[in-house]
Amino acid sequence: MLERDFFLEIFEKYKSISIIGTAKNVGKTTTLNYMINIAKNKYKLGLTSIGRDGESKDLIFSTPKPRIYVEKGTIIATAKQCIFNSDITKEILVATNLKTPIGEILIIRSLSDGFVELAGPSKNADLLKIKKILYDLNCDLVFVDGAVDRKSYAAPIVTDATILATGAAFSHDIEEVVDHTSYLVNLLSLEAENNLEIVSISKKIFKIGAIGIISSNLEMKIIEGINAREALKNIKKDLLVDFPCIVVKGIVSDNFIEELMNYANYYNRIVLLVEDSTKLFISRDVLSRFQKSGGILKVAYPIKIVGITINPKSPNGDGFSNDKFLKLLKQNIQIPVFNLLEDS
Amino acid sequence: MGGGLYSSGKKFFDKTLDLSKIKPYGDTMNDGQVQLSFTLPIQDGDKAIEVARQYVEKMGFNDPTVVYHAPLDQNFTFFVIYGRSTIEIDYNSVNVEVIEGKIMSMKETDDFIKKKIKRKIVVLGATTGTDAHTVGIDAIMNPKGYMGHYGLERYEMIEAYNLGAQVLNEDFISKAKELKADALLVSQTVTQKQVHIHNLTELVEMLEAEGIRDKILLIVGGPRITNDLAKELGYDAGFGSGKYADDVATFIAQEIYMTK
Repeated sequence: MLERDFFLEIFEKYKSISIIGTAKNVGKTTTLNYMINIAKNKYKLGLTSIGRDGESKDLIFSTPKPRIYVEKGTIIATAKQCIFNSDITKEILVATNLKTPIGEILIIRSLSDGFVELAGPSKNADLLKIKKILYDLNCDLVFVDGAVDRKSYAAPIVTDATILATGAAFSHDIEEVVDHTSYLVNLLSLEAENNLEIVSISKKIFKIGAIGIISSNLEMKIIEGINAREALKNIKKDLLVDFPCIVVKGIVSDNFIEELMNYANYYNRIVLLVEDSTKLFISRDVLSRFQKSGGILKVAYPIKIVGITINPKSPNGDGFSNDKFLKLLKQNIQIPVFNLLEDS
Repeated sequence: MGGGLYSSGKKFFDKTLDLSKIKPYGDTMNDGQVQLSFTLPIQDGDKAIEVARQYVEKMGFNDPTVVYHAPLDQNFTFFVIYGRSTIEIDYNSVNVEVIEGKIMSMKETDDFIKKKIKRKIVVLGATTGTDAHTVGIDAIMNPKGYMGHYGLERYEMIEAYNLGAQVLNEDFISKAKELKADALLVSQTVTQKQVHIHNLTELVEMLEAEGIRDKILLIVGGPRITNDLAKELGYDAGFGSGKYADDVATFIAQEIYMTK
């Protein structure tokens, strides 16, 4: 089967895979279950979630949610409270001392097949610690399930590759879903800066912040400020004539780009280099105006977004035609798109 | 029995308390008695009483009895009905993470911070995004507080800033960096609309992007907020209705002490 081969191939390439989504109920956990099923008997699997998954009913909207079935030998990082709700026989391996609102995160090994509830670390810093523990316990493949529309854990320092789930739960308007999804894919697969000297200079800037500018002959100036927007105010406009690359540590928002475009008279072409796409909080409209003004948005660390999974149904009952939804997405997006429920 | 006299016969009421099968207590253990009150948009009268009775029966209650009814106006009638619930719940299956230890008073929290943290704690509160409700954040922040619980601005050892309503996440974070905040308090009225949820997750994502998520205690509060929801959204704690400034202050002081 096509998608089976696709997943087997990415499991060979990447050691940690995150699942992000455009909204709640777009099929993140369904994707996780599918991946678990394909990886079983082949990999020593480690599982966690940055949200709360595997409980049978959604906690906010009471909509039904898929449960998570694991096989014997799976290593799971989940909060204490979820362990009571899991029906596997388990062995507690590590008490991490990392806290969540529903208890400390424990690392357990399943000694039987069964259902589990996943609620792991909420913060990237904690997720990195959990990932290390899972690797130390000899996991050779780690899956991280998501929460709502959060994406920060797709940052390449956190997970090696990511899968985006999208669906009718995002909007009842099919075009809006397709537009938003394809825009998101574009942002997440932004071009990486390939000049290694510039990347190495930008690493220094990411350490110091908030903004650095780099000239054509690779001279660098740091502009300080409590954040990028404040620092931008301290750049003399005509500096950009000689420094056509601006490196930003942290958030790049619509407001930041609007303010940068006030400098448009001083540049024909300017490269805006950010750490990775999870730092971007910009709308399609603002990005397109920035590009028209001569702006080129690049990342130092690219995200490997490897595929899209879809859920054409929304929890309130309505939804799209599967064929139409798949077709529209495939027309607009260059990476593989699957409906895992339809074909499995 | 009868004749208006008290019965002196021996009765055998159920007296067993089984925590795995909890039911409401009316007059005796496990009788399942529940009192409901509601209004139907119909005229008061015998037919209305029967409609209300059948409605409660349809809700799954046994032996519904209309004990009170009164017209609110010509076309609306208010009812009070007793019924026996058949549903049980397993007390032991419900898990609620309670903050360990007791809730400290304002003075106890101030003393705790003075002794153990040895500096003032900076707390910023706001209602973010499009949400214009300030009632929640004011109840926690204002010096006079709410329901007899003084607000954070009154605490000697807490430097509290109330940024008000409709604060942009980006500006909230900017202010947090400027004032070197230890804790951020977000009040949000979560409705069925996902916009509020998105606004709450965006704050988490922006704090991660700015690289300060693990340096800040992030708390969400509001009428429908629970610790479970806080977990899903990526917050460190959630405070729902019935929680006051002392609950929040105790949590913040103890967490900062433990992670410092």
